Amino acid sequence: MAPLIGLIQTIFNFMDEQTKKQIIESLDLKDLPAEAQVRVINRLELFLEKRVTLRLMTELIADGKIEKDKVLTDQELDDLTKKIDKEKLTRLIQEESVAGIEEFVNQHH
Amino acid sequence: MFESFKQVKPEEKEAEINPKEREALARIDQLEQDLNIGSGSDRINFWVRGLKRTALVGVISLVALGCDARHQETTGDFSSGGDVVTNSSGEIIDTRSEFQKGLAEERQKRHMIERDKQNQMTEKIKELAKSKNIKLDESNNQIEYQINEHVIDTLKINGVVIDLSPEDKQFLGEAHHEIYFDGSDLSPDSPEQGRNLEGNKTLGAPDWFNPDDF
Repeated sequence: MAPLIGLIQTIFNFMDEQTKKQIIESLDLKDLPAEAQVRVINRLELFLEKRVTLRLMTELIADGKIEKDKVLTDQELDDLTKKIDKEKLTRLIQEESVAGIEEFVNQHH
Repeated sequence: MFESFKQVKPEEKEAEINPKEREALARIDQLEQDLNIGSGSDRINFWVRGLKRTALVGVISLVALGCDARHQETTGDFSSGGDVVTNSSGEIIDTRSEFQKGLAEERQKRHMIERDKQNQMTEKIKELAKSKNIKLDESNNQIEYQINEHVIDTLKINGVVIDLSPEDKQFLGEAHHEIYFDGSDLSPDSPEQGRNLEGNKTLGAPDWFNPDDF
């Protein structure tokens, strides 16, 4: 494999450790083995990723930045990526994370 | 307890799952189904997978749509979530079958492994940043690295060169490879289609299906 240079902007995890701990307590999962707790948290994070993705795509379609069901070329994707407002994206991630976690915990109760 | 978050493999035998865990996972499944973003929703899964391609330890970019687009090229009924499978000649060969469900399950499993690896890499990068007194915030961190043959050669965090031990290089390189170059892109135009993580036919793949045909 040829050397690959990665230039990456990171947005850290959906949940900090304290939030994870609170979720585990809220769901009464404290007595589960640590690895089982991890699986639940990982699965929840995947759900949150999907929520964020759905919201992002929905907003992009609503803003007219992409057409629903349109097949985009790699170049179009690159261009689109550059146009994403990072602040908006961060806000969106936070909103969807909070909403998704609340939904999950409330559903449990 | 939470230190172990970075070390656990997500896959476990079904029989070993505690009822409480099973219930929690089922609730998440239900939430996803309610939003039509469950494991059977190819569209959202490809988006999510694509998003991960450009975010080392985090979440977002938009290469996602590229995966989506490639998926559309070979599955026909894209708008309804990829319910129809076509062969390379465009003939419809299967509707929502056990085969498709098996693929969806493999993707889900794959996502979980990737998530676990991302968490591991996040923790490692945080640790390395801390060792250099580099302040990280919730966004705008620049991680630059060079990888060769599954080993990270050089790493910069927010412009600062990080000293890496051979173990760090190996660890980060392997994790990176697991997330990005594992050949596990289960998109229908991928040679991996129909294979599970062990390289065998996906659960539920029909007898006629040969992954090598794709």
